[in-house]
Amino acid sequence: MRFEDRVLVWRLNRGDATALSRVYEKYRADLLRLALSLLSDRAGVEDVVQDVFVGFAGAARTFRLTGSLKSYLATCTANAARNRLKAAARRTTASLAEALDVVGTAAGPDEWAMLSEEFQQVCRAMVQLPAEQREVVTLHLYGDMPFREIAAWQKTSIKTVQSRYRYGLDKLRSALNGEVTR
Amino acid sequence: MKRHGDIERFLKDASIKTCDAMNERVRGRMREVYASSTSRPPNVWKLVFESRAVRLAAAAAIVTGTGILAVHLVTARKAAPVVPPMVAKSPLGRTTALSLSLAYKRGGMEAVDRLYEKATEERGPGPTALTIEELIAEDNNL
Repeated sequence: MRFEDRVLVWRLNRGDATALSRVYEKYRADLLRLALSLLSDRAGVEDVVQDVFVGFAGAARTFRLTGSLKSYLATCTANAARNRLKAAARRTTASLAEALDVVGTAAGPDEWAMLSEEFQQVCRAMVQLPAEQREVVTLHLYGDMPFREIAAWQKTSIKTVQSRYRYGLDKLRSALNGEVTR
Repeated sequence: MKRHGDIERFLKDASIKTCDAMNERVRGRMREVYASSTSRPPNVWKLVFESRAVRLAAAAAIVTGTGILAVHLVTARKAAPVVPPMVAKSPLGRTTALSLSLAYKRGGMEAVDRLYEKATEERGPGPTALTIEELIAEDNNL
């Protein structure tokens, strides 16, 4: 996986544009799931993920891969989502009404992501988590980021991150159990 | 769902599908941006000094190279033999028929004697009795 990423970056450094498509195919679903879990508005999700991919394409000729490409793209997505949330001055925990805005029962013809029933449940449960817990859970599960990297990104200790993850999963479980039994 | 493993699996398995038209639009935008981005030549110094190991290797190579050069210079200076300067002797200083004749013309027999004495002094220790013929032969490598 990492070796393939290194080869892709190597090809991009040498001007091979076909490697861009492979990067896009490989990570678009994970980045969209990550952004959908972090953000409340559908248009914002698409903007964020598109900006991340386009930004990566702009820097690809001189890009130097030091760790995992997926972690790098996930961090970019989470940063962009955080900036968007800050700019919009949203509350840390979104309301259920906003969650329904994300999942949007039927995807329009121009909408990028079409969510499965399970992912709609996940989104509805995610918005009930505080932002920090949501970030930890989504970065770990959809960005494959280790707790150490998430701790560095959130500027906190690994133990705090592990606690946030545990509490986040507990809340998601109770939210999803409630939804499943409903 | 009871355990954390179950909820993790549920979250990971929850899938999404993406619209082909949007995918193509994003890919096209990526290609455009990539094509318009300029390719700068790699910064060699940045490449060399990016890694700690490479930095250490470069420092070790510089130290080793300097050491080898210093040792080479010191040994070369010690081993070089002291060669006396090669200065050609003036024809007038040599004991030749011409120099004897010129000396005689300038100062008579006294000048010839002085030339002879000087030649025997320069010759260093050796047999005391030396004829003019032997001196000329020796001084001219005959």
